[in-house]
Amino acid sequence: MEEVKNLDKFDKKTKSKVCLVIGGNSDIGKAISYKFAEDGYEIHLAGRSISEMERTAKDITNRYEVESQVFDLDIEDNASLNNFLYSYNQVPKIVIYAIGYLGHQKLAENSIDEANRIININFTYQIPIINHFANLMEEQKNGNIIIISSVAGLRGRATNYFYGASKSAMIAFASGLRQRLSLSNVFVMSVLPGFIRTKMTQDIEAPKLFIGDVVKVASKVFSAFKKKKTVLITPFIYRLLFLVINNLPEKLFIKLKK
Amino acid sequence: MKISGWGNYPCIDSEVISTNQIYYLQDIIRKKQSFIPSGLLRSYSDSSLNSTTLSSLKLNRILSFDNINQAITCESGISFQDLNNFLIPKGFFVPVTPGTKFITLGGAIASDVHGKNHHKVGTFGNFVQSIRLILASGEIIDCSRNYNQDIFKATISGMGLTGFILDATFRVQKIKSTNFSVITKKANSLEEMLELFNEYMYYDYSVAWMDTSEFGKSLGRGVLILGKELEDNSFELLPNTKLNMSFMFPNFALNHITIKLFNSLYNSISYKKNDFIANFDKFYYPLDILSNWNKIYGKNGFVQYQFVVPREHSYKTIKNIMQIMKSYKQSSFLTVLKFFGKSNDFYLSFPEEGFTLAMDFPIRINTFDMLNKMDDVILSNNGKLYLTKDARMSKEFFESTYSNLNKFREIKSIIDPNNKFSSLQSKRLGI
Repeated sequence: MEEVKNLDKFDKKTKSKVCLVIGGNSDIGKAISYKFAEDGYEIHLAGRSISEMERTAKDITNRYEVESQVFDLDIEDNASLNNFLYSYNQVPKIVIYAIGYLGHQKLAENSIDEANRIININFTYQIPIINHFANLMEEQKNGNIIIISSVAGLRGRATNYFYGASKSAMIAFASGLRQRLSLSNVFVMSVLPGFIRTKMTQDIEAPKLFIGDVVKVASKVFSAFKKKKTVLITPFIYRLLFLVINNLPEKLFIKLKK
Repeated sequence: MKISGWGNYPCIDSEVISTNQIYYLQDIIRKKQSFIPSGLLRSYSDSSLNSTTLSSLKLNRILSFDNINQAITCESGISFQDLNNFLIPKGFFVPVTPGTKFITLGGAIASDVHGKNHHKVGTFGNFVQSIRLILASGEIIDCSRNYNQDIFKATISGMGLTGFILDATFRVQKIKSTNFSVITKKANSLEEMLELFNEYMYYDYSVAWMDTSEFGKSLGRGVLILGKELEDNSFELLPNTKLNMSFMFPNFALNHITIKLFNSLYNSISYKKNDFIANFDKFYYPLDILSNWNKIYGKNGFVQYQFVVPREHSYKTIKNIMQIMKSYKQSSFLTVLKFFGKSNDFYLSFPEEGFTLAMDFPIRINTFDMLNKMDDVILSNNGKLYLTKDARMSKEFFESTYSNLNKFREIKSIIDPNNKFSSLQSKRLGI
């Protein structure tokens, strides 16, 4: 990745009450942004499909009487990424990374392209963005970063271990970043949602008990953020579930495949 | 996934597609062969059912609000509850609302809904300024009174059959209060009731509850409920307190005796209070406090029969209908009478000037037989039935009662020649 130059051109002062959502079309990112808008935050949505995000931005402004803006960003396209980081010349109070790609496990087992795509979208591509804002926030000694990972990152399973591995990397990355930035008054929060009904998961069946509602999850994220909770597993049932799964001996875990 | 309308009849398996990505929706519409847009499924029977339904519920964004011109643009899946919550603190309200707030904007347009103020302002469709529609071809078009006028007139009241309503702009009403001064007038007979409607026509809001368990001299007795908006500048949103009926009542729970009991009880309670102040929620949406009240009819479900007949035929029609009901030993749990003002020019719009009566019947062996008999009375008195409530009318009956049907069919054949937008109802009635 090419470094973004001309950093001195940036408006380095942390903007009060601006929340930037990377993945402005993701259901989870959008739902969380509504919570912050309700709290008076100006909302910036960055992602693909500007026209879609513009509709959401208008809705946010109409409902909560806060400013909203949209920014074109395709994280799979290096030029688009650099252009975004260059043109977005400010430091928001909160950055939320909400891009996720479930991918196709079976395809990834035989195709390095699909495997790379899963790892890159969920993990690698976020690095330049998070680095960029983390460094600026560190300098300001002010800011918040919320990284949406997944409970799938807690233990790799046969059905989705490419996705799980990438999410696991996010968890470790966020953990390290949190430790580093804790010295600079920058708060890093990891959110590990369980199964939530969104467009990413629309074709997957799951027992009703384990299906999270995206609006409720967003409320949980918001209230946990206010309490400065560092790691949030939500919905609550997944905390119980993974308490069990994480403590299963590997020999037993292997046998649980389906 | 199993879905049904508010009457729980019929209940079918449907692939429900719910998305907020417009390009994805366009893609589905281009590729699939037969589907119907759906919302909160408050139409009573099969008008929003098909093997594939395109749910609008994730499309609920408010795209613009202009408080000077009193116009709002929203996506079609927004509910009236959501709209009211947005509008009330600003001193506005939806211009027309049916007796439940759990409907979507798209549904309100597709059914061209009416409310307690119909005799003064007409239907919801009268307030719609423009609509953006995804056609069967996947193309997105605008329509209004000035542009694509025929499509506009077919879409309002069009039961979702002209295309998928993406968003719409409509005029909202300015309110001076969320409180209503309510006056009730008791009628001891049908004659008295119809006269009361006449006498109090100047009230902005009117609706009557009718006791259908009484025949003979007090046939048609009931209570006329009149409302007027206060001017006290109080704009209050009530917290959501709801009683949830989460279980199905057994099919026999509603029988002749319980219905009679309920009706007599209602009648005697309503005598006591003549005038009172009611919040908009209680005034417009009395049944919404009981969510899923439809479950009291049990698993078999129920049908609602709502007809309108011209004023001059009203008395004899209602009397005949009640007699048929009596001969079938049925009575309606909740019966609502209302006077409609002038009709409009939307092709499949229901209201015509005259009286409209809505009755609920649990589905029993003889229910459909009884309704067929009632149809004969409605037909011979130049009446018609409300598509949004209908579960069973015949194609012939429908064709001879909706006078603008051919205009609708003509537009439909141009914009959707393969009938991709279709529901169980539209197939049944050949709409």
